[in-house]
Parts: sequence; C-alpha cells; structure tokens
Amino acid sequence: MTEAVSADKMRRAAPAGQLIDHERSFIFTFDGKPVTAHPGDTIGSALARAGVQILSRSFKYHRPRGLRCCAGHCPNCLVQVGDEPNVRACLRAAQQDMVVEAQNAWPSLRRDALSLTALGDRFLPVGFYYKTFIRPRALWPAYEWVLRHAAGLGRVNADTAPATYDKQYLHADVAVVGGGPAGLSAALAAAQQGARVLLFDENGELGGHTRYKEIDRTAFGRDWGLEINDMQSPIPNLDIYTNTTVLGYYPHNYLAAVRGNRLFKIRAASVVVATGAYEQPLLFANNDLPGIMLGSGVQRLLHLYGVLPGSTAVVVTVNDDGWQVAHDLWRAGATVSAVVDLRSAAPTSQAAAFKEALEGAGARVFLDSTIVAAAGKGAVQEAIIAARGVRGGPTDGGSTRLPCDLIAVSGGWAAANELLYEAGAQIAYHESQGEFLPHALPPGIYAAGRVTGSHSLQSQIKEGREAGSAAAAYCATGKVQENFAHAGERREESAPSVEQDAHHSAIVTDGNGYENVRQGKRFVCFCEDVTDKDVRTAIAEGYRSIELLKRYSTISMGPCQGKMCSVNAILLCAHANGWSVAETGTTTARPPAKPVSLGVLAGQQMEPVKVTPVHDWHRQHGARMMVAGIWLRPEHYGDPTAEVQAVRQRVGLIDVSTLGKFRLTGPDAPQLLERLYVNRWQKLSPGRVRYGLMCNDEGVVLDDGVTACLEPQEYYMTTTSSGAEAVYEWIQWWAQSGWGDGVHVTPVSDVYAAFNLAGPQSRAVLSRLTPDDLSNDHFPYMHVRQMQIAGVPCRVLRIGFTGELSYEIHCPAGYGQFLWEALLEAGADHGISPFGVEAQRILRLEKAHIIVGQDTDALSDPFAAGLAWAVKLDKPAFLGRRSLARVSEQGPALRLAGFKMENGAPPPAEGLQIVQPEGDGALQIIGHVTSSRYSPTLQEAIGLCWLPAAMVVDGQPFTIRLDDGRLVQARVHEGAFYDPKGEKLRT
Amino acid sequence: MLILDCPNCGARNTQEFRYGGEYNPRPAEPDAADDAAWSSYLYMRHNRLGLQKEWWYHRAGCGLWFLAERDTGSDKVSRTYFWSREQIP
Amino acid sequence: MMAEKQTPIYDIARSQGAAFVDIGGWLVVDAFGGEQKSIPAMTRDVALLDRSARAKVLVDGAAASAVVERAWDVPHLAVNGGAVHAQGAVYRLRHDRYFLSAPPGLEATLESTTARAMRQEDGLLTITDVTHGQAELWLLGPAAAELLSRLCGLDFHPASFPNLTARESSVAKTAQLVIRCDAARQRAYAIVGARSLGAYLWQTIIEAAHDLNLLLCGEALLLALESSKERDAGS
Repeated sequence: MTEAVSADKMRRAAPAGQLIDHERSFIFTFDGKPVTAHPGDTIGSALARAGVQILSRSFKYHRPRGLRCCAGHCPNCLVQVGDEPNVRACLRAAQQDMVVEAQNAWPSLRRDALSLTALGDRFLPVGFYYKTFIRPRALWPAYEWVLRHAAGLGRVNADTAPATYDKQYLHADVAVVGGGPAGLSAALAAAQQGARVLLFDENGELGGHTRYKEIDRTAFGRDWGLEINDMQSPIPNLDIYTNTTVLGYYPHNYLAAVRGNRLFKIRAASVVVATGAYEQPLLFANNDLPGIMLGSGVQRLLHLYGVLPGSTAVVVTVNDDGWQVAHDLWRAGATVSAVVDLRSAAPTSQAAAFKEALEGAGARVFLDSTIVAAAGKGAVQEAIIAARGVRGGPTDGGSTRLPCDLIAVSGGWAAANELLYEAGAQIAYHESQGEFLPHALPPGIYAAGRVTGSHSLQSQIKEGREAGSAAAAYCATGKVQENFAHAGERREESAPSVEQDAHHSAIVTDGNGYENVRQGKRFVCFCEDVTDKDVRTAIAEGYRSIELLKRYSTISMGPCQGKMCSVNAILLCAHANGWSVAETGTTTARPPAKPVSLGVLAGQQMEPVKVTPVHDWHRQHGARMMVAGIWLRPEHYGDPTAEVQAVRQRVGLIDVSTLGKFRLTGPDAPQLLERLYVNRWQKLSPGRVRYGLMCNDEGVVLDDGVTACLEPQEYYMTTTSSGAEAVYEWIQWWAQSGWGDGVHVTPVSDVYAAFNLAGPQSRAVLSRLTPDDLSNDHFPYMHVRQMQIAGVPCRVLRIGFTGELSYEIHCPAGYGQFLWEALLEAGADHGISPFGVEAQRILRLEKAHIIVGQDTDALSDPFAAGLAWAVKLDKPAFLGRRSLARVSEQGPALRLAGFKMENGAPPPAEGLQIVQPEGDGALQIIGHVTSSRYSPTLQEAIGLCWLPAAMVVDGQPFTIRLDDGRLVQARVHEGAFYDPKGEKLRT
Repeated sequence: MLILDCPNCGARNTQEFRYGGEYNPRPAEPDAADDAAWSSYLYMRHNRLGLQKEWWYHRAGCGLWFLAERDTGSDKVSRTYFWSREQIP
Repeated sequence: MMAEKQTPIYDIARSQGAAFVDIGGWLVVDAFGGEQKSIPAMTRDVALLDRSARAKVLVDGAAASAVVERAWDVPHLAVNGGAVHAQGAVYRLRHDRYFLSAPPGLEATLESTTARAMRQEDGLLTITDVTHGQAELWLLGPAAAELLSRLCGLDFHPASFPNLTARESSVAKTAQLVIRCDAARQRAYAIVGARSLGAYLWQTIIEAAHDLNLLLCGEALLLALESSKERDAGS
C-alpha cells in the first residue's frame, strides 16, 4: 500500500547555503514562467528551490529527468539559455532576465509528445539504427525526416553574434589539477619549496568536496582552516586559477584548460593530478526518475545553495557517505523515512553516531538490503526495498514499499582519472575498493587524494603534501624521488569503509528475478538511455568486448562521456562474459575531459596576411584585392582589359613587392648558384641579370626567377612570390649540409619594395625621374643598374615578363609609397595606368611565359615545359643533372604547348581536360589546360596546355572537353603569341 | 604538444618546426650512380620502427636546419644536433 | 619633394588618429589623439608603440662574435644574450648571427663601425641593413608580458627571460624576434619581424588586449618616461 505523498513541496527550515545571498533576489524565466533566484544560485539550484523537478527529457525515450549530480557530470539538467544550447543548469550561474528553455521536448517538458517513443521501445532496441527503420526502402526519406528531427539536443542559432575568445600560454614548474584538500596541500608544499606552481580548480572557490561535505577539521588544527579560507595566494610563486577546468593532458606535460571564453595552454615540468572522484549511481528499476539524486548532489544543494530537494527521503548507500547525507537531510528539516545500507555490518565510528541520531528521529534502517525499484509518475513517489538475499518472486514477497519524494543514492566512487590515463599512468581495478586506481605513474606525474582512492581527509592532505614536494624535487633534479611511494602502493587506512564488493555486486546483480516483475527500465547510461538489458542484448548479439559494446550500444558516448556509467558498463560486461574486470579492460580516455565549446577552441581570429608598402594606395584607388597565398594583392583596378592595353600601347605600373628576394655574398656565391640552378652563373659579370630555373634532384621544376650580379661576390636573387619561403628553406638546407662554405644567403624580401614599369613609354617616364643614362646602349636588356629615382636609391633590372620594354625598380620599402606615387605622377602625361595581377597574367600569357606551379606541377621537368634552352647539361654538377640527362636522352612524354581557340570560341576554363575521341564515342584524356585567357591584344582566346609530345607541332588541332560535356576545338601555337622575336623587350 | 630541443634555441613546442624527412645523404658522385642507386636515393626511404635520423627546420625560430635522432615507436628524441662534415653519415 | 619614409604601421596609425614627427626622414608617431597618454603604471596597463623606423642590422659570419665584440666593446655573449653600448644594443641570435639595434638614422653607423672592426683572418662576414624590411613593435608596461603570453608560447618569467634576452619564436602565428629591452624602469619587449606582417600584428595585438588597458603611444610617451626617470633619479 502506498501512502500518498503530498504534492506540496514545501521547503521548511531550509539551511542558509554558503554561496547564496538571501538578502537580494531577481527573476529569470524557465519555459516562459518566472523563477526567483538569489545571487550565487545556479539555474538548477533556483529551479530546485522553486520546486521544479523536471528539467529535461532523455535523449532516446524522452523520459522526464531532473537534477541528479549537481556537479555537471550527468546529462539530466541540460537546458537552452538564450542562444546557447546544452548548458548544464547545475553549474551555470542564474542571472537577471535570463531566458532558459528546456531542450528535446515538444510541445512542453510536462507533455512531451516524443515520450511516446517509450511505448515503441520494441522498435528502438540497442543499435536500432542497424536493425529498424531501414525497409521498405521507399520509406527511408520519411524515416530520416522523423529521426533527424527527433535526434540531437539543443538548438543552434546561425545568426548568433560571435563572442570574444582568446587564449593564454602559462608556464609552471608544478601544475596542480584540483583544489580540494589533496591538490591544495600539494600546491602549497611545492610552492614552499620554491617551485613555480599553478593550481587549477573548476569551481569558484577552493576546497573540493570539503565545501559541501561537513568534515571534522579540529583534528587538523588551524593550519587547514587557514589554507581553505584565506586563500588569496599567500605565496608569490603560487598562482591560483579558479573557475578553470582542465580539459586534457598532452605530451610532455602540456595541459589545456578553459575559463570562461579563454583557453589556457600550460607547459609544466611536472603535474599533480588531484581531480577527485565521481559518485556513481546504482541500478534499479526506474532509477532515472526526477527526485532520485546522488548523495553528493543532495549535499551540494543543501550546503552550497540552501535548497532542500525533498521533504520525505529514502537514502540508499554502499558506504558511510550515505549516512552523512541522511544526517544532513534530517538536520535540514527533511523526514528521513529510511536508510538502506547494502552492507551487512552496521556502520562504525562517525556513521554509527549518525545512525543513532536518525533512528532516534524515527528513520527505519535496512541493512544488507537494496533498492529494487522506484515508482512514480513524472517524479519519484515510492521506493521499493528488498533484502539482498531475496531473488525473484512477486513484488509483495519480501519487499517493502516506502513513500518518498526524494531518493538519495550513495553508490560508491569512481576516480576521475581521465588525465592520468592520458598521461600514461597504469591503472587497474582494485577489487577490494571497487575502483580503478593508478599503480604506476610516468616520471613527473603525481597523483593524490580521492583520484588514488584515498577517502579520508587526513590521507588526502598527507598525500597531497608528499606529491607536491616530490613534484618540486623532480623539477629541481629531474629525478623521481625513490622514497616517494606512488599512488596505489600505500594503502593505509585510506580505503573508504566499503564492504568488499558492495558497489560491484550491487551493479552486477543477477537481474533475472526482477525482470519477472515488470517494474521498469534499469538505466546504466542516462545520456543515451541504455539499460542493463540493452547491454546483455548487445553482448548476446556478439558485441562482447568493451570497445564493441561501447560503440554498438553507445554507452558512455553521451555528454557525460562515461563519468556516470563507464565503471558500471565494465562491470556488467565482465559479468555477462564471465571475465574478470582486468580481462575486460577499459575504453580509451581522450581529451576533452569536460565539455568545451568550439568557440573557445577556435580562439581569437588570427589569420596572418601580408601586405605590400603600397597596400593602402591600392585600396583607396579602387583596387579589387585578391588573396594570393598569404598576400593581399590587387587583382585589377576596375578594368583589366584596359590595363593590358595601357601596357601594350603606353605604359603601366604594377606592384611586385611580393617577390622573394635574397642577398648572396661571398667568394663562393657563384658556385652555390651553379649548384642550385640549371643555368650557368660563373661568367655572369657585375651589371648583368640572368633568368634562373631551379630544379630538384628528380629534375622537377621548383621555382624560377632572375638573379642579378651587382658586384663580384654580391648577388641579388629573386624568386616567385609564392615560392619565396620554400626556396629560402631549400637553399638553407643545402647551405647548411655542405654547400655553405664561402657564401651567405640573407633574406631581404621585405627590405625592398618592387615595381614593374612596363610599356613602350616606360623609358620616357623613368627618364623624368633620374639623371642616369637609360639608352639601350648604356642600359641593355637583362642588365641591372643602381641609380637614384626621385631621389630614392634604387636598383633597376631590365627584364621582360610582360613582353614590353620594362624596368623592374627595387627600392628600400620605406620609400615604397613615395616612389609609387612619384612614378605615377611622372607618367601621367604618358597615360600611365596601374595594373594588377590579372592584367599581368594576360600579358605574360601573350608571351607564352610560364608560371611555375600553375603551368608546371610536381612532375614537370624543364624539357617538357619548353625550357630546354635554360638547361646546361655540360656544366659541372648541379641539382637535377643526373635525372635531366636521362630525360634529355629519352625525351619527355608530355610537353607544354601554347594554343589558340578555333572559331572565335571563348577561353576554356583552366584545368579542363584535353581528350581524344575514340571510335565508339568514348573519350581518352590526353592532357589538360593550365592557363587560358582572352587576349585583348590579339583579340582571340589563347592559352597553355599539356599535350602528348608528338602532338606539339605548330597548327596541330586538338579537342577540349567543357564541363557540360561539349567538345571544342583548339590548335597548337608554337612560341610567343605576341612579338615572337622579342623585339619589344630589347629596344 | 611535444617539445623539440633546437640546438640553437633550446626546448620549444614542435609547432615551431617543420619536419624535413628521413636523413638521406646525397651520393657523392650522382653521375656515377646507376639507375637503381639513383632511384633509391630519390624515392626510397628506410622508414624503420626504431631509431631514425631525420631533419628538422626551425621555421618559427632561428631558421636553422638540424638533425634529430628519434625513436619512431615511442616518439622519444634522444639527440638533436647540427649537421657537420665530421660526423658519420 | 624630399622622399619620406613610412613604416608599415603608418596607414593604420593615421586612421587611428596619430600625429607624426620626422625623425631621420621617417614619419614616426609622436602621439595618438594629439596628446601624450598617461604613463603605464597599473597592473593592467600596457602601451603599444610602432618603432619600426629604428635602425636594424644583421651581422652574419663565423667570426661575427669576435667582430661585434671588437666593434662595440661588449662582453662575449651566449646565444640569446644581449648587451647595450653607447649607440644601441647588440643581440646574439645564433652562433654566427648578431642583430644590431639603434635609434632611427643610425644604420649607416652600425654598418660602418662593424665593418671597420673586420680583420683579414675573420673570413666571410656579411653585414646587411634590414631597417626597411622589418616592423618593430614595442609593448611597454606592467601588463606587457601578460599580453605577449596571449600570442606567444615563450616563458616570459624573469628567470627564463631576463632583460636583454632575444629569442626568435612564433607570435600570433608568425615568425618574430622577441627582445626584452626594459626602458625607463618599465618592462618592455620589442617584437621584430617581416615588414609585410606589421599591420596584421598591430591589429592582432590590439584585439588580444581586449580586457587590458591598452594605450596606443608614440615617441612622446618615451620622452615623458625618460624625463620622469631623470626626475626620480635626481630627487
């Protein structure tokens, strides 16, 4: 017979709560309804105080869920706060006017239509997506629509304004993770030894579990109290970061941590892990009802927030902790109707005193008993208890029904050892304690406190001090202290008073007896709604190993990532397979250990971009900027065709400051050039410029550019803009592995701005700004001169990428803006036009000049690319010679060729394939288009392409396949399209 | 993140460096090498599990190339040093 | 018209309200907003200055150490070490590379003084004026190290990074030379790197300092700091 429990959840004589300021209050809304909160409240604590029990609906079955752990470990309280989905209500501070909404429920939390999925659970067994909703195939789009809308948690708003994220690098001798008694002691001990210490704790204040569990501190004297309360870092070499969650451990003691919107990247010489433990749930029917909480969750609500989460409580425990929970509840004004202890022996020491007080207040005590089921509609109303010896039989035989509105479960502890796993600790299951504990740690890694299975405050403090000292000593000496007993090796009285296997056997009950009575689902994984029956089914289907079981059932793959279920899953897996826990093993812990938003990981937007000294001028004069590698360059200034015409007919000016530039000095500079380039350099005299082609030892073209000899032992080398860094690395590699004697290569790419003044009028324009003799006799093609232009010291190279008379002017970058404007001013009368990258592309294409990396690829050698003239096989050894000798003998299979389109066809897109139609209509690919433009000078479409060598004959027709499948005709054109003899260059 | 000990700058995050491949010395007389030997130099690597000598470039640092001896199984680097003519290849 | 020299920060600084002064032909920021800003004093204060006009010279060669020590009368330095002299400072970046730093206009002096100290037996020595090719941004004030540690993974603790230390590393994903060069009793760092990245670096530093008290400053601040230092010294 059940006693009706009053629906009135009055909170009488609620305790004060440490974090709460009861004097002030404010309002926020939950699903549109106003909720009162105080400063210090979380969303969860305020809702609990207001009597709201259902906070969410579970992922698969949409079962009502309420607060459980109050520590951010379980998925039950995930809510939507404004734009932000999946906020843990138990951790997020409540704020005035906050708009909080439930997730995963429609139309409302109370009446969620999708909770009907529970009725259809036959169709949603473990791994259902491999079994159901597949046939008939025609219905799949409908299934997909339904499932897609039913799946997922939370709502993302694509228009959310980006927040500010950033990061910070931190360095320490000793990094301590966890600010509870063990971590705090470790940090102080290490700091006192002079180490630089960083202490991280995810909560707003230090103390760990001592914040919400009342402990007897008198035994430890004033020191301990001082350490907790006065913590404002009394020691200068100790920095404390609260509200900071460590996410993961990476190689060489690198930690990632997050506080608010800031990601910390921490390098420490040693790490002390004092992360504590997660309280574990028990398995019983309907163990997921709202009103069923972890004992530590109840204590957090009571002591931190002053909320009494129920008026009539049943406490179930496997250890002494539950007795303290029951005692705390009773002192706060709740009726504790029963304490159910799974152990057979009565509790001792302090727990015995609690028992006496509770019995005195009328609580029933059940020893060697367990909870079989919970019952209630929407929230817990009844707990069903039975003695542990009883297996099977009808409900009434041997069980007791206890009306209640709160069940507190102290199911034992699982060490929070994610970081230790990631750091390479060896961790094993301790049968006696029922916990996975470390027994061997790599050098520099230390552990203390509950994460090593020590549940007494005295042990935690002592271990912390030892770990901190050892860590500091390790930093100083690099040696692991021999007398420091690693975690797991010293087991004094530090074990909790857990009877052998209590938690273990509580989980691994032979559930058959209870299945006879349809009392409800027993959830192992709350995140993914996986029951113990699902686990047994999966194993029966053959997914026996823990890795397969995890992936097939998705157990531990939800928001909690195993904090609430990994251990229980392993125990069930071992039991079902008949394996030991050691044989079963664990799955792999990976960062992040706690949830983190993608924004924090993305951090501050930092995308390096390079600009030339004339950048601002380009932008202000209508340039359309383009991204070229890491540079921003002007693509054109509005009309690239007009720019091409200006250069061909009059004069143009282009900013080529992006070119790579290197200074070569020393007596062996020519020799280095000889080795790196396929052309000859020894006889390049001062004042002369040569085009250089650089290959690797495969004979593949790497880069090209021009190099000028300014003086003996002084060379000025240029490379392509995109190749500058790679070429510098390449040259340095050879120079630093044997070819560097007698030569220095100094990068000066940014020291000089560079402009190309090109066109028939370029000489006339330049003459206006310099007193030097620019006549062809004094300054011929492929020569370099140093001169003053507009008063600026420059080096000028006469080269001809565009095919016109042109001067490439290099000046110290600081003068760049000034000189650019001076040149434009001097050219105004001549109709000068700035021109951009697009115009330059067209101009060089009209001359059939290649662009390395566009017209060549990772297989192109100079013979194939039409640059045989540059290769001097008869000169002494150079990079590529061995391979090129072979190519020269055999001839290349493919060759680069110029082409023109037939019948006024438009230029084909770059990259299109060249095909050979075969008899049956099939097409064989024989080449591709690399460069292609409409030439305003020739008034037809021209380009460069790769073709079989035999086809590279002037006039040879071939076929290009367009994207839409149409075939168009083109013809090979040998040599430059414009000024084939190169006369314009040499005037 | 791993740390690499640059012989010039000291211990730095590996992000500052660029891996330069397995140490693969160039034949002293390329023209004298037969096709098999030359092809082996160009395209074949030992890729052993165990101690490997390899190149690294400190691209966001001193800009120097150096050699490292790293166990490819454990990722432990036992030595970093500059190339020099005197060393055994 | 006399040719004027602009730093890579010139355009941004102008748009951010800077007033300029001519130093050795360079347009150098005097102050932002036309006034001299307050002196960085509070823990969260940091000043950002563009000092790219400063003279910068690289000395490369096996005998770089010997030549530099001779030329500038400075003690032998370990790699990453630095020393000041009458005209500026020298920093040893590598076994065979030195970086010479001085106020604007002194690059010719840096080159010639170093060259004069060369001897026949020194072998190949290359002296390169890179003044135009590098941006030089200074962070100065109590929060300078904190701001830098948002962008750079080096350890700025005084024990690891004492005054007059120069290290090349990654700052805001770009290769930079970071020099600690305390000035006027303020913690100060110079960040020296490719000119073409200067504008990006300036903006990125400003964004990274969103919750600090960042002061955009010019040479006027340094003059104010210097004179306050003299006053303190004299009092």
